[in-house]
Amino acid sequence: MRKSIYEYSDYNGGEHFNTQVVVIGTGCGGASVAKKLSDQGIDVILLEQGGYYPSSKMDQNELNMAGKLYGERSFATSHDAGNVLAYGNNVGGASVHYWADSYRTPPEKIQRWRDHFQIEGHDTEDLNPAFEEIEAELNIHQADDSLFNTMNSKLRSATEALNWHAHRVPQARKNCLKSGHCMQGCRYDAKQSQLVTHIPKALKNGAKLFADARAGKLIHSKGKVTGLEVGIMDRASNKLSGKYFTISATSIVVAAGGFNSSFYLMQQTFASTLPALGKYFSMNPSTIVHAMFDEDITQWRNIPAAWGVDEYRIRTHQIQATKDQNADNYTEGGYLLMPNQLHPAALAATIPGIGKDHREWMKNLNQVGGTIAWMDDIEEELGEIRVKDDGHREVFYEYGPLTKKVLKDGIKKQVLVNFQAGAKKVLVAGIQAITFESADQIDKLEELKFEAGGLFMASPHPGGGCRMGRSIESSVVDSKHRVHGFENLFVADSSVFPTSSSLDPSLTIMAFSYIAANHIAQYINSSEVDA
Amino acid sequence: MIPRRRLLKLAVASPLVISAATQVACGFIQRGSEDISFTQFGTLLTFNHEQANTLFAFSEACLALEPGEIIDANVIARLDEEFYFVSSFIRSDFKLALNVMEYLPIVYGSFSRFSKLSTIQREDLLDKFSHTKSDTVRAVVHNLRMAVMLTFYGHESSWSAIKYDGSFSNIPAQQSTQRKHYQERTTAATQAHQHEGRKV
Repeated sequence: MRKSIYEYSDYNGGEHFNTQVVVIGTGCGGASVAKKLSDQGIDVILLEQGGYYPSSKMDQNELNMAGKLYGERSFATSHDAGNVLAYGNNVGGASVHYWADSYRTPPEKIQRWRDHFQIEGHDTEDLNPAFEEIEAELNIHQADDSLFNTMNSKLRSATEALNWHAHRVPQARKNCLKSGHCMQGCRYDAKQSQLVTHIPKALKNGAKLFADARAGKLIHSKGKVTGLEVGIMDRASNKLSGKYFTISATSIVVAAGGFNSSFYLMQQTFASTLPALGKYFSMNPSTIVHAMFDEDITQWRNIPAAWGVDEYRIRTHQIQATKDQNADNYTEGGYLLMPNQLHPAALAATIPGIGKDHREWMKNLNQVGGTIAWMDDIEEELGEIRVKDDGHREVFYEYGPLTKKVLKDGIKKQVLVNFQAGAKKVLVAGIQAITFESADQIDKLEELKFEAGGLFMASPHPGGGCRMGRSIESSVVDSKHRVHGFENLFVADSSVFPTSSSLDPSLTIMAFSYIAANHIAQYINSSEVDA
Repeated sequence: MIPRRRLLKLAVASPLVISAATQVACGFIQRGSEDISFTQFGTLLTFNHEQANTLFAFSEACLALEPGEIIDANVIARLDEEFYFVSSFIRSDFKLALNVMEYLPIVYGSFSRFSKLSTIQREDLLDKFSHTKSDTVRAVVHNLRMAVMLTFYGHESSWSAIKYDGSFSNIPAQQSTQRKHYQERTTAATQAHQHEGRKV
């Protein structure tokens, strides 16, 4: 049988490959593009700098799996240490450790991207066929009652009592065993990550997968890429081995993810001709609130989020009609609330306090539940991906005035809903360790400071940096996902989003990438190539 | 992880810290990521003696454990391994943060290095550092704290006390290619060191 998956031990260095399309990255974007292109008989090579870890390699141990599945072993943070950056560094990318929440792009986002950013061909009627196909492929369905753990059930009861609008979260799962190890990779192939869906289908279609292979220098001339150099990783030391191979291709797709695609293009020194590269970066900064209950919660079992609270997903302002939405007239909202799910290591890192105070919470960990608020990044206060003088990536994200208000309101609503759910004590995940004994103490939230490293937050939903749009001044790719100034260099991942996608972006990334694949296939089959 | 510029600004606060930071910075250049230290915590490939001692002192104050629990969880060796595999700038920043932490008490009016203080004094100082107006000091505490918490509570020796039942299917921990590599390197370095000692 023809070999389709290559790992570090398979390369000698110095090899040369020819293909029609090279896809850099194997997460939701890259894997979806590869699947759709290979469906059409197009020859594809998938490149992944991380390792290939099938489910048999997933031992459900937090630290072990962080070493296999997470970029920088989960030690990467934003510029001021305020946000832990959670992204994949493995075949399948972040889809292997995500929660499996699978939302269609919110209508107001599609409208905003079309009307304000002049995005074409990504309207509801364009995306719906892709959504339907992916939903069938990944068995996406609403969480049923069996998928509600105690914290999810408590949140459901609390929101029903408060009359807050909420919903069953759509899940990409098949025969879930409810282990609660989604963030450590699914041992049972139940979570429908790229590792068990698009990638095997692309390989079956004839695509090749090169793991432990870091994309290097793009070879290009006069707006046309012709191939690239690939550095072979030594998986044992997690460093480049010093060996390289090369690939010639008709087209190249950058799908390295929201934290890395713009960084990769900046490494190619494209920033001088693409002024928007790295800019308009979003990451759904998420505040966390821990809650102590009388009974066992055991938050680390069953699925993370079966119940989503969208009562406050849309931000509201006092002066809606003028569209002058700023911090001064902000009222409330701008985030999605969900139950949180973490295992002890990550819980310990996000439960504030030092010494005995912290230990006391840890000793009662089984009774600790809580929530998370995924903030829809403020369009006027987005961050930026930068390359530092020594060549490393910096994720620059400062909290603007409106961002601070939304984060604070998200924490406030979390405190209130956790007490409604029966919590005896609530703790904000931040260095100040603000603790509430009852909902009546909500004014204590006025003590909250927004200082560097002050809140313990995670950001697994990066977007932007290669914003889609018409103008080369304000965007990086056009509506065909093609990098401005190039005829055959494309981007297919969340980095093309003009703004935050508000909700878990995985389904949006996949649907966008299906559309990207159509444009790439058109290019491959067009007269442009012959010319 | 922590802005280098800010760390250096902090260093300006004390000649001693400048001295320490300079030593560490020189150490990065001279030894790079292949540094080997033979410490009471075992053979280390990332941290030197002083950094390992600071990390242990920080962990003791941070975790409030019974004697021996930190050793059981191999916190220093595990962190040494974790930071052996991350990017060089993250590794360098973490090491620099440790060195700043070691001399930070002096900036705050104490006449002792962090690792020489009693556990209670260290706890008090960490509480003070957590509430300081200095972004950099808070970032140093936050980063060290996060790494220590992740490592200690990621180790199964800590789980019975917090009633965590571990792997859903009782799957034995699998040693990755990288963990094997680290173990092979530390074992080889230890054996070479012992061999050198016998020759002397």
